[in-house]
Amino acid sequence: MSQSLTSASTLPAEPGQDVLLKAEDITLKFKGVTALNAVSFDVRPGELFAVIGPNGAGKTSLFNVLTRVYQPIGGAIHYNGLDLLSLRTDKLASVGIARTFQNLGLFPLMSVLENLLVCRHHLMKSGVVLGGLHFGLSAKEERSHRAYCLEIANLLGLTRWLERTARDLPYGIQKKIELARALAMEPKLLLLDEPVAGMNHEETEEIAQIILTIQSQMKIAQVLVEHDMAMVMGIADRVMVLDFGQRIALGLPGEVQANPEVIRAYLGDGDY
Amino acid sequence: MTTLLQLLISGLALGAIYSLVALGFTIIFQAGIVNFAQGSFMLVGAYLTSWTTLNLGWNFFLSLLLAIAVTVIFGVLFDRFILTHVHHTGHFTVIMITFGLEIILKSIVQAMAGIDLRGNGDLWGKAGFNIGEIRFNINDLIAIGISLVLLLVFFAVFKYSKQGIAMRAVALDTEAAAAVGINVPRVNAITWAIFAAVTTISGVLLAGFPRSLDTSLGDTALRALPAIVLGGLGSTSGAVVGGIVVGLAEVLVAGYGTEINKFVPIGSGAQTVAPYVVLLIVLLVRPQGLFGKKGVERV
Repeated sequence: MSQSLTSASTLPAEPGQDVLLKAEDITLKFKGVTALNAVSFDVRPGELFAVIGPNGAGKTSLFNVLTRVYQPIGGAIHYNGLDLLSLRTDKLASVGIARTFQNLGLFPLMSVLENLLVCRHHLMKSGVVLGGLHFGLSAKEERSHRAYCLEIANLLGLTRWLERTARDLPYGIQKKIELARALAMEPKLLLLDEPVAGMNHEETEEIAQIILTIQSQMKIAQVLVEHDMAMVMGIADRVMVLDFGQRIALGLPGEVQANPEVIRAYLGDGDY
Repeated sequence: MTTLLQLLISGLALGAIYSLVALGFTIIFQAGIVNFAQGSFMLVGAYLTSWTTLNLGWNFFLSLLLAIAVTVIFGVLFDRFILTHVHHTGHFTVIMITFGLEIILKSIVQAMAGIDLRGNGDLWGKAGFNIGEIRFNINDLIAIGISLVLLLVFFAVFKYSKQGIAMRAVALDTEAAAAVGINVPRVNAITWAIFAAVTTISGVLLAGFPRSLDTSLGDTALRALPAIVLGGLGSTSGAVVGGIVVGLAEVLVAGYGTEINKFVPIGSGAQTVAPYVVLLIVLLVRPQGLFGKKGVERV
């Protein structure tokens, strides 16, 4: 593959910039079909990194590799000094990786606050007995977890819904709850799977605003897998474009948008 | 009036035990497994307690603890080494495996213990006292008391504790639970441990006075099924209420059998059918059961 515009190293390096996540030559195959072919990229601390591509480009496959659902047959992913590919899904929370789901992964019968508190699970120290009886340290610990969740809820404008059952709330609110839940995990890296899929223009704006707030105020790195090109180009720091499992471009939004290969693959066929 | 009060006490005691059985079924169901092996867990637990107490002369409570330990370990291993590997192949496979386990364990108990009636080994037997004309059996009172305590502890833990919230999260969405950092296999192990402990206790209580222990004990787990459906499949509070309703229905119909026969010739043994009649009536009015949510979350 010739990739004229793709080298991340051509971008101006900011001072003190290091790498939070580095994926090298990720290759994923399903029964002979290559879903991802030697895809490499890196994500910097606090960066808003977007992955786009037409349907079937491998976005979801890549997301599922990062969230440890799929195991690639080749390549390596270094995350914050760890070998990410050796971790199980449920260990990601404790190393600071949170995710959202494309089709909502809320706990539908729990209240909004409970949905947020569950995510503090990996941070809670007291076990079943103390935790159940609200004694001593445990009560104090729970108060601090609760306070953190309330803060997040406030940031996302969810305070008035806290005691409501999650599934009774409108879809747009549920999407925000999911984001709040991911943030309640105090992640260093947030993986977002098509956060504005199925949303109208206003809702999309609102989510985009939240994503920008997460970036500017909380300084959390985000990997945004998204179909909505307009939104991505407006907010991302850098964009990677996939097509048929290949990386066809990686760079600043403006550069990517001008890349003829991207236009042909993504925009030219009217899919967008 | 005396008869009614007397029957209500027995019915409540039986219902309390059914509540425990139904609760055990429900927490496993919430973990995505339809468990037909519950009867054999009751059977093994009750026979182990009875055997170590009556044949080996152990203290009853020590025996009970041992029986709980054995069934808990067995349940956790069964989940970890068998169910985990077949869970993804579908519900029918899981149902057949739990059904098979039920048959195997029941056959083993039958082969080792024979078909004779025996005591459960408890310390109070048929002791009791009278207030006026009403008889209070110690076993009934203990059944009510223990069930009440276990249910309260369970609901407190389920609602507020770290593990309880994790259990509910896994029951609602396994994938999302893993994504927020919950160790799903560990939560499943805890669920099976709670199930096995509660089921063993319910089995021992059910084998106490005025009933006794034989190898048909495990069939009671099937009798708790109408309780589970009545309460609303998958609802823990529903399981408890359903259990009590079924226990009361059974005892009241048995107690008033003669009177009922004067009006409707239903013959004897109607108490076995009574829970299903109540179930039918409830489902006609509320198809999702008393506490059930419309639309089942997990089938």
